[in-house]
Amino acid sequence: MIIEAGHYALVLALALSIVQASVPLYGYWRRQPVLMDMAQSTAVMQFIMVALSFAALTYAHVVSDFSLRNVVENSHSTKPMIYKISGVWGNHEGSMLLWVLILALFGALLAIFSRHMPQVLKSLTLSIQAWISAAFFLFILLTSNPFARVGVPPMEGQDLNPILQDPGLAIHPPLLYLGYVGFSVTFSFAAAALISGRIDPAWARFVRPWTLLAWIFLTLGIAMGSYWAYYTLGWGGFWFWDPVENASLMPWLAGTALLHSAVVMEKRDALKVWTIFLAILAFSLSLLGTFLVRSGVLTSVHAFASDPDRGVFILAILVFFIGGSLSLFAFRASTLRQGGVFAPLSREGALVLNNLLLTTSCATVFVGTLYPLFLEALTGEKISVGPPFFNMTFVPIVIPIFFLMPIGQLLAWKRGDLLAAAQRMTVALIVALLFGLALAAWHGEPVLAAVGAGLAVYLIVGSFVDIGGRIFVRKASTSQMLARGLGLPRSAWGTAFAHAGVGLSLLGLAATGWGVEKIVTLRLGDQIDLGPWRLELTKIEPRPNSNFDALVAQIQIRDGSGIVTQIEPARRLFKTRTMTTSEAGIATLRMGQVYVTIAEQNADQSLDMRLYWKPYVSLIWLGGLIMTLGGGLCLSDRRLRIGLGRAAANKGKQKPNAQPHPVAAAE
Amino acid sequence: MDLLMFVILTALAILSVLWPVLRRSKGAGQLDSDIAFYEAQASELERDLQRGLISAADAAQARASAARRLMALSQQMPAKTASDTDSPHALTQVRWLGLAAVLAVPIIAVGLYARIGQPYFPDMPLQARLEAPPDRTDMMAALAQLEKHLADHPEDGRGQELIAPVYMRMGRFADAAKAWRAAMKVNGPSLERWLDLGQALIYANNGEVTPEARGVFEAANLLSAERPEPLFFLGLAAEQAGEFAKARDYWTTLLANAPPDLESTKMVRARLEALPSANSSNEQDQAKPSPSPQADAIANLPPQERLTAIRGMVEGLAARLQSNGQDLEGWLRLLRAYVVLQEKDKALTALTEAKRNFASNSSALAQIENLARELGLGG
Repeated sequence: MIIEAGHYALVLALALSIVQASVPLYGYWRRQPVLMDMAQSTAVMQFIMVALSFAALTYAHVVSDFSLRNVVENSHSTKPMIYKISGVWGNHEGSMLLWVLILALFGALLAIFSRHMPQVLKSLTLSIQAWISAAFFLFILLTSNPFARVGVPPMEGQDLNPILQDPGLAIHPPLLYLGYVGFSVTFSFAAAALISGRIDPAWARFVRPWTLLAWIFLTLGIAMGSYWAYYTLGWGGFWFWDPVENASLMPWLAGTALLHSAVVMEKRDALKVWTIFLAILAFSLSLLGTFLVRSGVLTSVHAFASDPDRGVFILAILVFFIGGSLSLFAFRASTLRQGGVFAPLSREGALVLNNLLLTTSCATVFVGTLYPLFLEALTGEKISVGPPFFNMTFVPIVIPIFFLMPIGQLLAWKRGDLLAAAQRMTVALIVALLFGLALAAWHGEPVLAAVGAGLAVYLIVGSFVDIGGRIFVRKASTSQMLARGLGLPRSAWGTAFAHAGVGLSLLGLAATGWGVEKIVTLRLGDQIDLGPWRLELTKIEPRPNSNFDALVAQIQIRDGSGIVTQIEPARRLFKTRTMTTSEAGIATLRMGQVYVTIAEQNADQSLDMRLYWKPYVSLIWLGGLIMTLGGGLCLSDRRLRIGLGRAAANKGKQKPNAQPHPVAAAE
Repeated sequence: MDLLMFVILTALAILSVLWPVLRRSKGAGQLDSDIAFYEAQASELERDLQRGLISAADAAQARASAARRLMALSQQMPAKTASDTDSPHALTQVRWLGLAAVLAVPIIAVGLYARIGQPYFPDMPLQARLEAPPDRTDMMAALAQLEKHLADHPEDGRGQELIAPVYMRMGRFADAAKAWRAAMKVNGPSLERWLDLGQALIYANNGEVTPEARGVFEAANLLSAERPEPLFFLGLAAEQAGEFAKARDYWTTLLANAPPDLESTKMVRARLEALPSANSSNEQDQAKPSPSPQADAIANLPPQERLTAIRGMVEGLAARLQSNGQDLEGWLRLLRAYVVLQEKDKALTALTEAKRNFASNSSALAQIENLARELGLGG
């Protein structure tokens, strides 16, 4: 009964979302608070229903109920419990259910935790949110129903794709979805603002935690996904410019721009059109990401779900929401009241440039990802747009962002002083130069790696210049400085950490230039040098497991003084699908990693292997974690943000009080 | 009982739609919220000022601009008057819409679920399916277990008799026939087994009474001349072969012994009357005169003696063919008889013999091979 009850709960969730999508909207039109209030209670109940449904599906996977097609196709009774659970969302239907679960969760959170939000904004936002969930409920129930039953249940399932039987899968998609779906909230806020015509700092304040939340999860999800690809695919690469990766990068870029833009809105009542546009863009790209992965238009390692019917349905959803919101935007954007004015050279100006650069970089990724698809659809010609394209288009756009990031932080609101900001950056520049030179002297070629590392250090140090300036005041005692540091808003620290995280990741990326790669054939007892390490193959043994057989090689890693650690790269043969996967052996040493993958054993007992030494490579993901930490600090800062035109900084000039305030002027 | 869960879920969903109507809450009004926001901003500025994060002049300026914005907003959006929402007309409207929303939830949910759901389909966790006692376990699992057992132990006659009717119910008629045959090999032939096997064969061939099935019913008929089933199917076989006179004989015998008012009896009578008249058929003249005196005599013997008598007849036929191998009809009858008597080895020997005798006669050879194929004597 549990399964059919879960199925029914999902149908009820659809019914509730239809009510939630229509009644509050009508209530807004007729100014009926009771009808508008329906959005909250239905949003909460909708979440409860989806949660029950998801629980029922999880139960079916856990107890191997092969009367569900979804369980038959993706599970096996001998699969370890963790993969029985993660297998729930390791397939198309289940992952879409996870998608709506998160969507409903955010809706419920919005309904419960926003008591101070104006009713109109809250109910309109929830109503738009319900449009999205209704569309996805329909999609699930009509084209990808995880609750489809099998009349004559088999006694055994077909097992989950072995590549997906990995702890990474248990975490990566939920994180990514939390990010994607998080942007649906900001999207709904934007649409609500366009409908009601009300958009102001208060709006930005209400949207802020959601944008941050989505951004944090998306950042974590991308970092996690990249690490997963790194250790699962066995090529030692962590970013392939694969369309599926790009699909998550695009909303991240747009979301990052949105994050900054929304701060300007909150503090200065400016960049309204930008903010609304970016909110629409971020979610549209999230939808596109879902489309790219789920419709099967791509054939790549990630695109494990493919079905053209579903593709057309998702395309319709895509057209409806993106087209609808952009039309609404075009129709209403002109009515948005422009808020605070600012000089081109100011924090606001810098953030406009930031928006421009981020959206442009996003556009290059967009072109690089979709152009091949369109070309193939139109002419049937298959081309591959790989790293060279992105290196030549994306990289030149993001390099200026890295340069300007610390400087922008130092510019005052409303009107800034570029020269003063640049002067304050000298410290960072000098440190970066020294560091870059030192690294170049130590590791040598290539020059590009040293330059990149220098830029990264400039970014890390520069991120803290602003905070440093606010803490270290002349003639202040240590305790005073500590007090000042603690007194700073947590969001200031968050900003610094998030920016420094970008620098750390960049450092890790730059250092790949100093990596060592070897392809060798080793016998038992053979030794080989890899960078600063010496590796010895000490054991080769078969190791049977519950649902796969593994061939494990044991490799000891030594430095000058002795054994440091040992790793066990392996090949796994999965019996049910007769598929082989490669498990890389990875050891993290001094921020870098020794990375070894093995091939089949040769007839003479020797093993073909790929060996890599990747100095500082762990910084790439550590940087991602630090970025997330920064985001978390900002999120924990519940205070309101008030932008101050730093009039006091340039006392020579008269404050523009004589000018009428823009809002007043618009009256 | 099963539906209780569905009722509870539906009730919960409806409750959530009704909730605001029941509660009549006052949501934060737009202006209240705005005032709260700007008040919070002002106190935030005050705290920053005390911590020394901003200068007094900055704070004053920020406060002023916040106040200006709030003022602008309050002018722009006059507070809604109470009468707007509480007018009787509005209230009626709310009630009707509330009702519509409340009804919409179960209508949409039940309507869609009725199309795509299977409310009576129980959960089937694997462990429970494996552990359940055989009579309660799900059919497929039990069948899988039994099949595996019988593959290892084909001599388990009880098992074969158990599985055969299951195959019949599942429509796997050929498998059922195989199981009946196996059961007969172990438990020995009996009237009921012949009948079951014959019917399985007919179903397996989409209602056609193959020579093999015909042989089976002949054997059954020999065991009991009164049982209606063999008579009916033998008549059917004759009808299908165009031997209408024979069919008429069988069915007339059947009707003579059967209770007249049974549904099946009436059906047989109808079929009998529908048979083409005797003289319209040419074949029946060539067909052998129906049941020979000898056969009649055998049919009247008690079962055990009857079998012996049949065996004796078959032996006689075999001996005759040994001396005169050119009797094609005889060979065909012998083959059929051996198969019916479950003596496959003898049937195979006879088959080789027959083929040797007619090695030069291709049409006779074809007939022999056809029959062998139909009888399942590996061609």
